[in-house]
Amino acid sequence: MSASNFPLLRDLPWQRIVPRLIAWLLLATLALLFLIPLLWMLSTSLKEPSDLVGFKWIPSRLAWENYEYAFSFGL
Amino acid sequence: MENTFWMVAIKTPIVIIVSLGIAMLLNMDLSGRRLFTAIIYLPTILGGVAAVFLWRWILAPDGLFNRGLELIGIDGPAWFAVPQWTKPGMVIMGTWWIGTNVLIFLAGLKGIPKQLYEAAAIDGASSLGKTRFITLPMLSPTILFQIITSLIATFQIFTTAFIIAGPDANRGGPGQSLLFYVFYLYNRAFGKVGPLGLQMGCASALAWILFAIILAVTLFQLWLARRWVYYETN
Repeated sequence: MSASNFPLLRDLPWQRIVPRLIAWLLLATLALLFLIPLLWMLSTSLKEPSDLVGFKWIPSRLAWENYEYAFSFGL
Repeated sequence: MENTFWMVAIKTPIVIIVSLGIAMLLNMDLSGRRLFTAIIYLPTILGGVAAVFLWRWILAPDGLFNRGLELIGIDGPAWFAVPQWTKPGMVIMGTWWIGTNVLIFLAGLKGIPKQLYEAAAIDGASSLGKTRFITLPMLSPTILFQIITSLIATFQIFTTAFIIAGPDANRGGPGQSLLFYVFYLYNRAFGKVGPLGLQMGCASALAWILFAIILAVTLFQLWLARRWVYYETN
């Protein structure tokens, strides 16, 4: 049996950490991609009509009246 | 009809491969995997008409998705307005609802005995070898289940296409590119009154034909499965 086939010798710390780090980064990116539509909806729920034109993540003013309106009208 | 087969042929493998990949990543005992599982599953809870409207808006010509593509230097198409891009848009939207598939794969992965991997590690197997000769064979019954359920779900695709077609519903979306089988059936049964509408008899016949197609495809899959699915009991 050659040394590289022996698990204890092959599993040096960096050889274990680097693949796991890559996997973690991949997973975090995917999770972020899955979250973006939801965050976008959250951001838009606080926008004034004038903020809807164009493209911005942070509304110029937090328009809480959207929720007020939703509660008084929709529920 | 071709629209339906396009979706079945493209979307099903994408859903299976992406969800299997995510499940394998989630199965690596990384820190924060519970949080990631929750995030990946989150869209599944939100499914429905509202979420399709959200996506119609994200995939708008100057919507969020195209802005994202701009960042990496790609000029995104007008997804749901151009006939050849509507179905890829549907696939992108569909992969957002992958949570259930990921969860089933994750359960399948957790069911593989650890001893097999330990034995392989002692024999000096690479991680690629472990995936090919342990994970995939042990997971094959789960993969078969996923293929069959995804195929059936894709054959029956209707709600998302109907909402995205919107006012174009009578024509089946831009250039009839979203006119899936069940969509056509709906238009026959409940569409505009006239030569193509309110034909309940024809629509019912279409429903039975779809049942026969799905049955045939499923039986074919089960026949194929004898060649590649491994059950521990035999």
